Amino acid sequence: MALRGETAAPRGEGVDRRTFLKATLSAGGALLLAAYAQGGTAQQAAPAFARPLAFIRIDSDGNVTLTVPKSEMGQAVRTSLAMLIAEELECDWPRVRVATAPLDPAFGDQGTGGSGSISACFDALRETGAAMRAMLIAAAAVRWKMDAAQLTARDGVVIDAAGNRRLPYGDLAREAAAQSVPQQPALKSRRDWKLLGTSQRGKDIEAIAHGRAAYGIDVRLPGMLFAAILRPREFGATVESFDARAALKVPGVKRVFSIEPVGRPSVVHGGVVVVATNTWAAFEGRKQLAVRWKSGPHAAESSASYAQATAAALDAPPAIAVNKLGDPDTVLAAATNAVRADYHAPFLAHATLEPQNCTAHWRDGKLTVWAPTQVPSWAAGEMAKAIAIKRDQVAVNVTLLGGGFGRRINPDFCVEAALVAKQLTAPVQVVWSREDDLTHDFYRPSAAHRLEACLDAAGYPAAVRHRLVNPAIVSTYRGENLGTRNPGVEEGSGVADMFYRSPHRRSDYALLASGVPRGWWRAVSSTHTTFAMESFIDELAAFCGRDPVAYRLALIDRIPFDVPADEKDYAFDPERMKECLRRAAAKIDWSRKRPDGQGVGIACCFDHRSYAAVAMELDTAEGRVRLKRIVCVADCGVVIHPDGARAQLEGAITQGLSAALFERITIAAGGVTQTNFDRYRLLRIDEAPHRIECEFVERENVKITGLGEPALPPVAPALANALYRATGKRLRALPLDLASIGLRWA
Amino acid sequence: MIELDVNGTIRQIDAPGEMPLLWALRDLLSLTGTKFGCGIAQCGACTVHLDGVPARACVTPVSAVRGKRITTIEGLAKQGKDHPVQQAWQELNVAQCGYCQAGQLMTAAALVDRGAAPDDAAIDAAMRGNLCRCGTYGRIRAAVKRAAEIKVRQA
Repeated sequence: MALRGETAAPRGEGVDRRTFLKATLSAGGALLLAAYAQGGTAQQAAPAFARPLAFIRIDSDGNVTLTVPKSEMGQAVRTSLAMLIAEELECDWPRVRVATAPLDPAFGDQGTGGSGSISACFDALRETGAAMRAMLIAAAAVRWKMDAAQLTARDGVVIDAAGNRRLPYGDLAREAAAQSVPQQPALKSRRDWKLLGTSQRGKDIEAIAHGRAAYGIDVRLPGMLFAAILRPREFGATVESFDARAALKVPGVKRVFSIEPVGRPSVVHGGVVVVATNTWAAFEGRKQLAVRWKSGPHAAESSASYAQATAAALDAPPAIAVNKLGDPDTVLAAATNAVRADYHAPFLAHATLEPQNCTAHWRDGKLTVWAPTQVPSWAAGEMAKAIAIKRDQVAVNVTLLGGGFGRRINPDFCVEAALVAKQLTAPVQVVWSREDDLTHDFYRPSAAHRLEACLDAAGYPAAVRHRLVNPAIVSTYRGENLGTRNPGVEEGSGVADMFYRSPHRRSDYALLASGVPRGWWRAVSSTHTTFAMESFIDELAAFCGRDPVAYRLALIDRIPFDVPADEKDYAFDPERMKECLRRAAAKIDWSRKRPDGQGVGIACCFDHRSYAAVAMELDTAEGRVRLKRIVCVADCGVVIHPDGARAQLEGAITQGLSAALFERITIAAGGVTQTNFDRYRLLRIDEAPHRIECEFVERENVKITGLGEPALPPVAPALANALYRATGKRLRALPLDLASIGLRWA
Repeated sequence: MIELDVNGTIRQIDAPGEMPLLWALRDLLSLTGTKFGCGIAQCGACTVHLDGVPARACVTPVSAVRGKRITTIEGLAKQGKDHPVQQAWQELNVAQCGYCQAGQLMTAAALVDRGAAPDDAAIDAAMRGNLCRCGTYGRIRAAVKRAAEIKVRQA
């Protein structure tokens, strides 16, 4: 029912509610869907507006609190998702307060990741706001004994223009709650937006600036204890015996006990727990533990053993076929101008600045939890299993997250807290040190790509052959017997399904066994596939003396393989990719010739349903790599919060540079070598770009997609490509070893 | 018992002298604005002021702060009036996850309080001990410069 004066918006800019759950995911995030299902929580996402009161609270003073159903980890969902509701609700935005939903089916799918929040909530939250507005108007209509169609609402007030009467929402809230919920409220069209599409001050910046923002590690409850866990340094090792006497003598230490490992999918390492009255006493008590470890199956794993297995698998016959078009083997065998290159990427750590932690209280058969989790439903399911209680006996409060980047998808740190809490009556916060966090992560998998191509008479690829060798993320959670599921599809996404045209092509995959736990790191497989693909396409262009931008533009085409039915609305559009590339090239003044020692480089990707291109201009005088300019052009369809969108690009690019230049996890004797930031190097302010120039391509008639991840993957190859143009030297391993080509980052 | 002067108030804590100030603040005094990031003074999340000078609370034992004025993020605003860095940070929407920002603000506040408007080199040198994993460095630089302007305007 359209209300007078309001224009009904065409449906379809957002996500069909029935596919609410599935549609948050891209091919790269398909594991996320499996993870939710494994948690045994196949929630029927009730249409959000069925219970607008779950999301909107208006008190009698007119204060509006909006509840957002996703975790806040810096991507500003507490601002952007609240804006979706507020636009339609027509409330006084500066006064709006925001809450993060605790785990509850009323809020639908609360899993946060895959750059999917705005897309998943785009329709549902706007409908929630519109439904509430309609209910407030209906309540006023009853009170004024008139037809609702003659009333409007704006800035928190219902207005009868003809009768010159106004009622603030606070006065109507109770009666509005008793109105029936409209099933298909009309939504504003984009041109009528007043809030969406504008930049707003973040809802949390005031609290953050005053030290009041409360993260998981800041939870404080009366009588709360703190726990530190000594986990095995070697993945898969177990506690044989331990001596707690010295630990128990440390002032503040109350209890010491062991917890068993928990297998897939949680992957909890187990270990010895020290419980104390404050965090430092727990850490000090832990230092005093004497533990005998029983070595496990991964004791001999090291970066060297790894490199050997990788090299063997690159050369050996392919294990798993991913896709094929034509007959690339024959064409390559007959070619005289084949190009081959191997690209390598290491394990990466998430290094969220807030280390992992979880607070749990076990009382009267119920578990109450406060956690900085990205997926509260998975955490609840795994916690319930671990302590053998029913899922509905677990209550999860979602705190702010001091960074997520995919680390906090995993339920492990919550399961540990459940196991510890079960041994106590008091609430307990399990706190991870930085050493714990860096050595017990779920790492971005290492990867080795081999790409081979031969070119036709025009210099374009005639056949491309690709092999990826790595320990897949999925086998951390599902083991190595994956049935019909092809890990090469997910791991190779970005190069196996490359959007560059070649009449003959194939992609193969070899799964490496590893004891190192793998997980989702911002942009997932694209972080290494885009490096391989965008470096290789640049190498092919150089091989036949073509301009890298023109070469790409000539080759970007539809991906010649089927996409799953629920991805069809998001299928790769070559025109959108080309437009990002063209604009980035124009912005960096691509065609201007740079003097010797300077160069421009470019790379592009289609990641998590959005398009991004990054271009850089470098100077390498005096052995120092100085970043003169960096530009990013992204296409996510619609930008609803411009400043927030820019922040996402700035963050992704900074993290991409950090990984491109410095980050590497190495393995020795089955465990991780890097224990703190002195050895796992992150980009610092004096190494960061002074200006990141961002531009957005906005479109009508496309589904809105996300920005958390897509700008990250092109950074490393754009840098490698720029270095090649400036120096003639090609680096094919991450992190880029500038010293090996006589350079250092300025 | 150890006496600490925290944000202008004398607080008593029952702690061994070796306990780092970070944990005394967070766990004994429930002042959780100062954050834990690494424990080895590599990330700056724990930055407080001792007599107005930035210090990393994770490696400062409580025995070393007797007689010093400790200022934490909770005490940066004086009598309800924001420090210029707090104004600038809000104006420019600096934070993403925000976890590092208390430390960033404390380091930046001391820099701005020192006097002359800092240039890029001075900002980089002063702030390089403060990590931000979300990548807000560009906005931090802009906010420090803006804070210096605000400070001049308020003088």
